[in-house]
Amino acid sequence: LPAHGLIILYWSVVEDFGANLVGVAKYLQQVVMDVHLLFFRTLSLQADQDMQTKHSNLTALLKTGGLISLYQAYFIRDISKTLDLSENSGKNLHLPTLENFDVVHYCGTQNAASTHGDYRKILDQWLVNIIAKISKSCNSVLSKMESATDVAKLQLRVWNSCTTVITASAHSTNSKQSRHSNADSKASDANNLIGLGHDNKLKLDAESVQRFFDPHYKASAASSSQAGASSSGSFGLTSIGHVIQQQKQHQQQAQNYSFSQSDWCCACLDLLQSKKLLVRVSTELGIAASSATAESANRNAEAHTYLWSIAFMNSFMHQVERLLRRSCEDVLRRVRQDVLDALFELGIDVDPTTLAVKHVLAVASKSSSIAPDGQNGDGSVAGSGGPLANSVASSATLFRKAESIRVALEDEVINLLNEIIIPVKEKDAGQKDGNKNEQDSNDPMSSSALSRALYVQCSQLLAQMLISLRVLAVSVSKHVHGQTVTLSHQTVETGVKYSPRFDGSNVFSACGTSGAANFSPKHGGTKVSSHHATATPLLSGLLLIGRVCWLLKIKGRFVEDALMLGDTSANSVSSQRYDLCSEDQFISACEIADTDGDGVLTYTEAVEVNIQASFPVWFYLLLFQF
Amino acid sequence: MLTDCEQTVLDDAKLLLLDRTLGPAEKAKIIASIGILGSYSRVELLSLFLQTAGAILESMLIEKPDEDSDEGSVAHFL
Repeated sequence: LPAHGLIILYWSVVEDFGANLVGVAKYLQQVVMDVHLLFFRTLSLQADQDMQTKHSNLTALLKTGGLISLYQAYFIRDISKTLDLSENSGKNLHLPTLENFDVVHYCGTQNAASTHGDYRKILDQWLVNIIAKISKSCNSVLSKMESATDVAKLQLRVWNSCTTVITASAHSTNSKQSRHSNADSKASDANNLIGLGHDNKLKLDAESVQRFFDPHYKASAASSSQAGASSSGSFGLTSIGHVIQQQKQHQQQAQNYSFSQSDWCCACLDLLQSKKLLVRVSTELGIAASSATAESANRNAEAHTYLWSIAFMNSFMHQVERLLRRSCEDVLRRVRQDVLDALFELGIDVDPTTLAVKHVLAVASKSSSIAPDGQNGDGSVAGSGGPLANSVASSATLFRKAESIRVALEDEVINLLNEIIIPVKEKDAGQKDGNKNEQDSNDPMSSSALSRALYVQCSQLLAQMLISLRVLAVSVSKHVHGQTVTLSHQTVETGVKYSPRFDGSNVFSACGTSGAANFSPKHGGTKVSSHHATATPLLSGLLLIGRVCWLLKIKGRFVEDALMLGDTSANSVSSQRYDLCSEDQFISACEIADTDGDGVLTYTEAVEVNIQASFPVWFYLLLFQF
Repeated sequence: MLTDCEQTVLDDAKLLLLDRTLGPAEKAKIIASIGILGSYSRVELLSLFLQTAGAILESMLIEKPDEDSDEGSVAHFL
């Protein structure tokens, strides 16, 4: 292609479609529809009454030879119009007449089936290549985006570009002229870039315009052509000139061609509804073919979404999941830090990495006696803790802290989900208000995939949160158990009977409202008081952890409520397209994930396995573990 | 063998295929004309059409650095 022509056309396309992802989607849609209408659509499926009535004889003639394409039909009509034009103008253009026109030659000698197969090979290969390039660019750009809201909004715009067409548009002549002048200025800049001067560009443009719009120029060009090519060449020039004249008339009428939504659905069904194509695209992109996408290929009602699903959906969902995962990790880190801070205020210093208890601060009470050097017998540090370290926290205080942690988690989850869901809702509401007749803006496949991603990521978040709580509980309870054993040995040596009701093996019972009070030595003493002073923060910590778990159990529906925020009627249907796993399935998955076989699913093991489950199951599992 | 004039018309006609303002009827005529002028078969015409469209799409996909934005090529593509 000539460089100047390509650049001018490029800027024209940029003007029409925009040099962005939405423009790419729109242009790809345009190409697919053009290919469908020009090469694939058969006349038998057409309802072009005008053509059929005016050229019924030719149509009938061609139909006898089998299916003919729209391209062939228009070609024949063009020939007949050209003949009329040549007869009226009185010019001898050596055009074939209807009597001696070789239909077989110009319409192809191959049968329709083999031609269709050849078309498919070329088109599918082109689609695979171009979709791979689009997906690569899309991933490259989206990976630089840090806001899930921006991704969601862009996704909606691209979705609309891929699935809807302009059903009725009338570009005013003024706007078109201004657009073209703008395109010319950009083309001028482009020509300057490649070394062409401004005058040179104008000259080229003038020649081009003259060539296309001046019939004398065409006639002279045709007459100057060599004799061998004069017949076909003059036909081509006249035909193209005729097209341009028609376009000029269209511009004067301020009309712009537009496809209908049914045209687009028909094109998708004919060209994009192919499992083989899906597999090839998936292979090219290095991903597994989505079952949802494969399923959708069988649903004609979603034909208008095929382009979106094979070219764009995977990239967007991948990036949305990436951002969701990162956001969930941030939420987990913040909420876990809240828990650790609360434990620290109680006097328990926990390693944030391993969640092991590092130090326990002794509680100063009337019966306790802290060593003068600030060190207790077991090495715990006394008197340097947080605000509650020097006093026993009441149950009410602990419950308030637990509630604040739960509220913080609730706020984080709601904010996280709103970031994704609210833009969708706003878009839906805007479209419903603006144009009720417009195509449904919900993307069923993306909504389903997004809902699934939200469920999975929220499940992961809560699972990690609960695993952290359980590991904390186990760590604290082990510390308590260690102190109990030490104290029992000392009791044997001193003869003082010490029989705490809490033995460390039933942590959950210790997390009750009387957990701290139950740990009461029947006989006081220096050692016992010292252990009491250090065990009280541990038991308070256990009580706090247990209370947080209990609150998540009885008030944990906020996640479900937040997930349901974006469920419109269509989404609620789409969100049920995947099955949440049952409790048995989930327990089985946890057993598989428990790689060391110790019966406890640790934090690390859970991170390594992508367990997809609905979040309430995690609560049950947590309680079972307790 | 095409003359220079015919070749130029042929090249420009290929570009016209990508004009959004042209409807399928007009494009069909252009294709028919190109097919006759350049002696292309219909399969070759499809390849030609897709090749040109692919060139335009690739041009649109080229990431251009945006000097006014810290986000590089993201801004122009969104």
